[in-house]
Amino acid sequence: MSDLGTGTVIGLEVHVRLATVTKLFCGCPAVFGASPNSRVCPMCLGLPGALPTLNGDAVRLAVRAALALGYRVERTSEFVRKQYFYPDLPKGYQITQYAHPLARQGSLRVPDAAGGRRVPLRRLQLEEDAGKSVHDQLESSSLLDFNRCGLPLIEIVTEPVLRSPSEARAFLVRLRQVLERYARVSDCRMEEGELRADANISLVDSGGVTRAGRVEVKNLNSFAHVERALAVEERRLAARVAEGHAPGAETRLYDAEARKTRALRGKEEVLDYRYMPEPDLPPLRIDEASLRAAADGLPPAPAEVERRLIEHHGLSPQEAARIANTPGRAAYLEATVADGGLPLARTASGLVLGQLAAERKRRGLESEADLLPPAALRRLAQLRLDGRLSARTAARALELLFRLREPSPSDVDELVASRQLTQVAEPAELERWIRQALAAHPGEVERYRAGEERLLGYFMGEVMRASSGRADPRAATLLLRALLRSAEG
Amino acid sequence: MNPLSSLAACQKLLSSRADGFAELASEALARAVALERGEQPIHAFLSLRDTAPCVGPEPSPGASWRAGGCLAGVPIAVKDNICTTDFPTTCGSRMLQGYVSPYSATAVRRLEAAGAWILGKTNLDEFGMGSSTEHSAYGPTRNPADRSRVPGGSSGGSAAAVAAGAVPAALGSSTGGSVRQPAALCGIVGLKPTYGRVSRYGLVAFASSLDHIGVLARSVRDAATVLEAIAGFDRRDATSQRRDPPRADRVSAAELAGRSIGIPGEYFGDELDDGVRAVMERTLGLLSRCGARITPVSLPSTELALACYYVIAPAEASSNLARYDGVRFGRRAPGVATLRELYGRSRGEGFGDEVKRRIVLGTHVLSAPRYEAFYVRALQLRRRVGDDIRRVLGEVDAIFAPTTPSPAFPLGSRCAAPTDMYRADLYTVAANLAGIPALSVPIGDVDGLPVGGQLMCGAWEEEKMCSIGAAIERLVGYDPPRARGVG
Ligand SMILES: [Zn+2]
Repeated sequence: MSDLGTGTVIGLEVHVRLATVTKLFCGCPAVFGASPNSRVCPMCLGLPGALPTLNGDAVRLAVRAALALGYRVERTSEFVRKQYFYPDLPKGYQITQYAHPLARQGSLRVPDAAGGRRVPLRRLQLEEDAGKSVHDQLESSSLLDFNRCGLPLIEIVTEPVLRSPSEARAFLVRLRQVLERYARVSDCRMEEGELRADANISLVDSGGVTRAGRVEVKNLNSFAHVERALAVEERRLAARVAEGHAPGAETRLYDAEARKTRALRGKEEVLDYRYMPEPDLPPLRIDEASLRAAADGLPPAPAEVERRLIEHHGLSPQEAARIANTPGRAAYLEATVADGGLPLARTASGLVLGQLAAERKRRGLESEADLLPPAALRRLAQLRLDGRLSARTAARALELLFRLREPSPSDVDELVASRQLTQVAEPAELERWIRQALAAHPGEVERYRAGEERLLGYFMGEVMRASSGRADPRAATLLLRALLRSAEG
Repeated sequence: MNPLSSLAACQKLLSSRADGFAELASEALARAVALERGEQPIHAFLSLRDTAPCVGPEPSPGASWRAGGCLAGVPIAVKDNICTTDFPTTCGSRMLQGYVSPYSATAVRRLEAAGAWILGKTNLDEFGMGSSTEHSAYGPTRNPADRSRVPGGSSGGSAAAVAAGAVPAALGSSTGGSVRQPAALCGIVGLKPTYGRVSRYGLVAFASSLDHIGVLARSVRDAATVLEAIAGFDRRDATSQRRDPPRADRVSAAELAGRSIGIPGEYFGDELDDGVRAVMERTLGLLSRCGARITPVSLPSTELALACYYVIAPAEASSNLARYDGVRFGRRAPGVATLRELYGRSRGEGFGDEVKRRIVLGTHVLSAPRYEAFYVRALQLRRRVGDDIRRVLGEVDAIFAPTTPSPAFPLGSRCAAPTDMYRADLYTVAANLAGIPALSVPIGDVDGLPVGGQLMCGAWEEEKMCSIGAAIERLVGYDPPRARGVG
């Protein structure tokens, strides 16, 4: 027990529901929240004689997810039966994949302090969901709802390489971003079970030898739970090791209220799933055409987009991450700035993340591009960058532009001119606004003169008000100082 | 003359007068009911229509291209492991007592689309597991040729109903020989098509990769006609293939001369009954006199095929029968306190011994420690069986062999020794393992007990196979046991 320099090793197993119209092996609608057992048929109820037929759209979405995660899609994959008895598993087996999954060897870049880390993914398989058991509504019996039964899932398994609970969380956030916003294969609503994660955690010593675990942690209903449960388990294992124990493999359940994990089943009760080839389904073959169809319109990975935003457009990592949040926003920014140079990109990015994002959200629009064409935004950003618009007049200009339909760059110029929004640095004009402001506040002028210099900001605010925000702040500040001094003299 | 002895006889009655259908239907019903009477009832049916309607079903408009409406008004029986909305589907099991499927099998819907009238559902070994129809929870079926003997199985009820003249044809199902073997033992024709030819949708699964829906009839031509009606791609069965149905009008008994017929030596070993051997040899003599080229061939994997079959079939059965858990349908044991008890008692009380034996066997061979040694090896062997047969079928037009090693055996004689029962499938499992079509044709009898000869052809060669079968049928001139004791 000398070497307590242990490290944490975490692996994740994620199930994501594909956003298909119908279930994986039958024609039942794949909807959430319908009344119990109203979306069922002989197939998904496991009635005698019913047979599965594969939903081609589920295959397309699964392949698309695989491509978005850099997997190698297998030309031929096979379905198997994973067998166990449980009341919400009507056939007594789940149709899934095992020895020949849909895709192998993917990866996902997760942001970290060092600028990103590649997490290798083992396999991606296509499988059906089970029904839902409700145990707490009736005293002496359980209720079963088979609406969920047969919904299409993909299972994504990471290599056990995540080093901390927070990294595990970051992985999941990134995974959801890719699948929901980039590949658009799932709505990934965790509260509706569209994204479910199981985690396993081990402690290893500096030589990579396992000191504790591997412990599987179940019942993780949110990203916060994943992080918290793993942290709890990490501490528990470390304490056991410190006491001289070598805790072994087991499955534990996370109790979110108590913030504790408790044992579910030990290793001695490992289930034998008696996997066998699914004789009712021929091998699944993916040809070039279906690969192309699945990849149609698939944007580059968010990590790639972020790298470009940072390296090519000079955004900060935080800014890049916010812009790359959705592929549409990143594309919009890139279309706006084109090769306009770093300052323009940063100015435009500020406008996109600020007022445009807020307005888009307020109006419930898909993309910022629906508010303002890239060319118009580019013109506005350029005006702001050239100092011809202030922060305040730029904001005002945007407000007015939102009311126009597809404004062009010349519409921007026209609007700025007609509404007199350009910044004014011309001394005579500035002096008029400053004198107006000072004349209205003789008392404050006195105090300034008496040495209360922080009142300068107050006077600037008054000048801006007098100028309707058009005064060039730098020039106005200089002139304000000079006039206050001259008044002293 | 029994108007139910052939499709042609049915059509003759149907077209001869306006109320032809009512008469044919009542005749079929009366004959079916009679099979349930007497001291030793044949007991071919598990459920029957209550009454014969006056007006027969019309073939649906889309059916005319397929079957020419040639099943219009014809009573047909269906094995009770094929789903029907009009009758219970019990699979011969207590587990499914009274169970009525909410949908009909594709094969049944196609029969009805072609105008057929489903008379009732026939007895079988529970879930198709058996070769004698003694493993039915609802009592055994007896062989119309000799009521002290079994009709074969598992489609024994369908075979007996056809042999006894209650219907001209019936649907059966075959996993290891369950259509050809009872056909042979009852002296009728049994046709198992190519795997993927007839949709399995609605056939209650026993071993999905081996299960086929087949046809029992009194002539090859009638069997081919029914096959034509039920065959063809079905989007509900992912293993069904896009092939045009084989056409009955292309089945011709005309020419045997020049056909090469392969005779596998392995099907004539010690286990072959002397009487059956003599009937086979006489038939081979007739064939060669007609100009067929009789060629000895070798299928070395024959003996291993049976072992391979009894690994794969139980393995798939253990999986397919997991759904009978007492939760959603079928038998649920009353008064259970725990989930374990619900499963244990529902399944314990619902399944018969033979089904349990196969579930245990299948669970065993699929368990992680034994999977490689049993299941994976059986799959390898299955490929070898198929390769063997395809190699031979590359050299000859058809393989011809006895359908079973012996004629019908006495009721109860093999129940104590399951592996003796399993040997009844010795000659038939290979075609199921390879997925090729096979046909049993009556070729004679041994002391009044019918003997069947089996033809096997390459995949999708049903038309050729049925033509050769029809030629043998004509050559042998075997008189089906229509009159014995059942009118
Ligand atoms: Zn369904």
